Amino acid sequence: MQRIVMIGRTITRYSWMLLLTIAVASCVNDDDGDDPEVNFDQGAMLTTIGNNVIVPSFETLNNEAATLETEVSAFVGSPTESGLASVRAQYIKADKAWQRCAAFNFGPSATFATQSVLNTWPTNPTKIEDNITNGGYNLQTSSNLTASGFPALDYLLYGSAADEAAIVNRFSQEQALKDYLVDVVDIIVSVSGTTYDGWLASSSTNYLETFVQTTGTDIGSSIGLMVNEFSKEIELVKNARVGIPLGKKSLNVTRPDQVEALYSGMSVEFSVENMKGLKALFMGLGETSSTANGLFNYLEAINAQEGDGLLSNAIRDQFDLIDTRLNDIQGNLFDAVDNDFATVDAAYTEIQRLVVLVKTDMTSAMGVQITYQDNDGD
Amino acid sequence: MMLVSVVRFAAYGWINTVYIEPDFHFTYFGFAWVKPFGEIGMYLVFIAMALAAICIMLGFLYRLSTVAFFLLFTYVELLDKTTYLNHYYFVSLVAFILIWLPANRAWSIDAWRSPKRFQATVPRWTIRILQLQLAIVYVYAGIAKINPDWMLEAMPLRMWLPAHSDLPLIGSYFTKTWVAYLFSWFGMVYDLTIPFFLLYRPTRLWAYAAVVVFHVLTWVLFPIGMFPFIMIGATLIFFSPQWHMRWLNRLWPAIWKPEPSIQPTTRFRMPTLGLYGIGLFLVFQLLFPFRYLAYPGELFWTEEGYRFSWRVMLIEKAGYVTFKVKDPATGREGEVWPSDYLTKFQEKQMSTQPDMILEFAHFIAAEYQELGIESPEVRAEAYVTLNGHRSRLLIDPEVDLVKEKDSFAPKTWILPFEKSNAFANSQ
Repeated sequence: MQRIVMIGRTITRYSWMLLLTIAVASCVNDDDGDDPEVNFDQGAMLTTIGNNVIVPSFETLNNEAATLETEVSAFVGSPTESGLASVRAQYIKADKAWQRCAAFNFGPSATFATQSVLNTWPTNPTKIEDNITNGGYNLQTSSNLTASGFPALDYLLYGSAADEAAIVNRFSQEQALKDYLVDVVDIIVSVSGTTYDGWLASSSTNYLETFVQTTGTDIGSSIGLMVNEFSKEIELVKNARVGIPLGKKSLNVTRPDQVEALYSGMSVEFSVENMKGLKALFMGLGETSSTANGLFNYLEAINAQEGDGLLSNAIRDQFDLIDTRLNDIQGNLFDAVDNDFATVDAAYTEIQRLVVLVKTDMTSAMGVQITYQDNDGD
Repeated sequence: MMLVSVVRFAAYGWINTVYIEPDFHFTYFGFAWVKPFGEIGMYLVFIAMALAAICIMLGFLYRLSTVAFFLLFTYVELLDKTTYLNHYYFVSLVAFILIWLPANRAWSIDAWRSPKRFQATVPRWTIRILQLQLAIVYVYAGIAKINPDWMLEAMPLRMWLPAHSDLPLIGSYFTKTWVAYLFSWFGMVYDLTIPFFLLYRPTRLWAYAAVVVFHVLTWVLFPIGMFPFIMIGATLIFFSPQWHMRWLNRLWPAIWKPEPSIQPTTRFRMPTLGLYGIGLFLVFQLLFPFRYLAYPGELFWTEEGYRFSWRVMLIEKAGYVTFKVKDPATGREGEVWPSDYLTKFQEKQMSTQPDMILEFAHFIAAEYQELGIESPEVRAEAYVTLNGHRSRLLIDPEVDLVKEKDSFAPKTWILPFEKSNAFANSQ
């Protein structure tokens, strides 16, 4: 009996030694002794993204929204064509500031449903006009999401009458229209403010701290959330901003009326800005900062490959290519989907390539879960 | 006598099973081709399943409860391929085995109600078959790990471990490549040998310690749900009846009074028909996982013969599928985005698994027929990355999937997998 125990122990000990030897041997044999050890500080990356990219972006949105409110109140005070031009210019600035924040759809943005409140399109002109005519509306209800936010503003400032003079004329005549414009802007200002506040250290939520401290890439981690929303937003550009107007969902029958900013014709510019926000998040590079530390650096640190080169470079280059392709689109998207299908389709194809790189290669390399379910790892 | 461990196992395993209940129902709604009972019906199914599990634990109406539990659990498992998990399959198998075991002969309400049924001893085969079932799971999981990616590249652990570098104490090691190799090789040797170390008495305690450490570690590192706890609980069956008695006496001295009349027995009692039945059951389990050999191509890529084979945590796969629909009458072609129809989880699971892509293609065809397109053609553009190899097309984008049928036959429309430069392997 004693003997058997001895043999048992010896076997156990030897199997351990064998294991260790094999493990060490495999390491030594691995890629010319150049052990690609990963030493990446996720907390530092999150700090950079939070401090240099996300918070400043929401700050800009908050400021632009406040300026918009000032412009609008001046305009409704005495509607003129030059006043309308100022309000329109400020609307475009504010919407672009929002596009830069659209990728950060987690934390406060998720809490306050910022994306739905600010940018649900296509907007519903009939509902807007009914609200104006009947009064007694509540723009905070979900049924009015298609009658408020930036898309509603787009209609009010560009589509509520035939031309500038007619629009100014309507605003001079109709108090209800003025009130509606003010109410729409009020909500834009308030949701931009609460979302921005939610990120600040001075607020009770202080999401910035949560964001920086929740490291790891598993479910509920900041990287997990961020990468999920990042890929979702790119898909939104591909599907809703470009694909649907292009007729991808309707057997190539184009749907120009489905474009994002139908009345101002700013769809392409907004998409370009949106992609810039996504790229800023990926690079970890804010508009005013000089140091970059983002998902790009993370991918580089884990040495993720894509065919012949680094995945990090491939994704960065794809962002640049998309920027070029989007800028190739002449005029507004409403006309381009019919007049210049090939150019828009080329942009669509490149956005789709980015979706593939991000949703498959990048999430896989980072070990990020796209869903919240148990799985066997298969 | 050995009954204790069976009851104990049931209690431990099934309670955990019931515990994961809330995670279940999400996946079964909003899915066109599945036939669940509807919301209230599904809740009733789960309530009934929980009741059956409690009855099994208490040994109340045992036979009825085990049959009910097995049928209900398997029904839910079969509802949606998306949710396939090896440990659900394991639970189904064990539930099936439990139907035939006399686990209600002691310390149960059944035995208390009709003392005739009381039996202090239990045939040894009842314990052996559960041990054998566990051994199959482990050894086959170990065999599955013997593949070049796992052993030579430490994939996919090399991709998964660095994700946890923020864990206290051990976290910083997860970024080191040698740790991934160590884990891969240890995991393989562990799976292949652990049943034998558990069977062999002198090594049993150490082996069990390894079971606990291994499964707790996998629980911390990977989203595999209740599996680690089920295994930690289930492997207790390898311990001797005396061991279980001792612990039960210590833990609940008031309830578990040692009964002097109980004597261990080696009596082997099994009807011939049952012998054939069990033999068939085991032969099926031993052969079915090897069916992949009958398919051409890379198993991890095509996943032909992947399920029901104890392949756990073997591959890191992610994909993105766009379906192209064409109306041959007009020549018009459009796209279908799965996210319009599927949950995120379903989309993720489908995007890497050819049989699910095919099933969805047929669903799309049916949808478009409803819209008035007589014979739509559906093609799939599916980009998939496997174990860090660059994403590439999984399905031939030229093949009209509507014309293809799912079967056990090899799927000719799956493109072959060619290895690219491996992940993080060379500078």
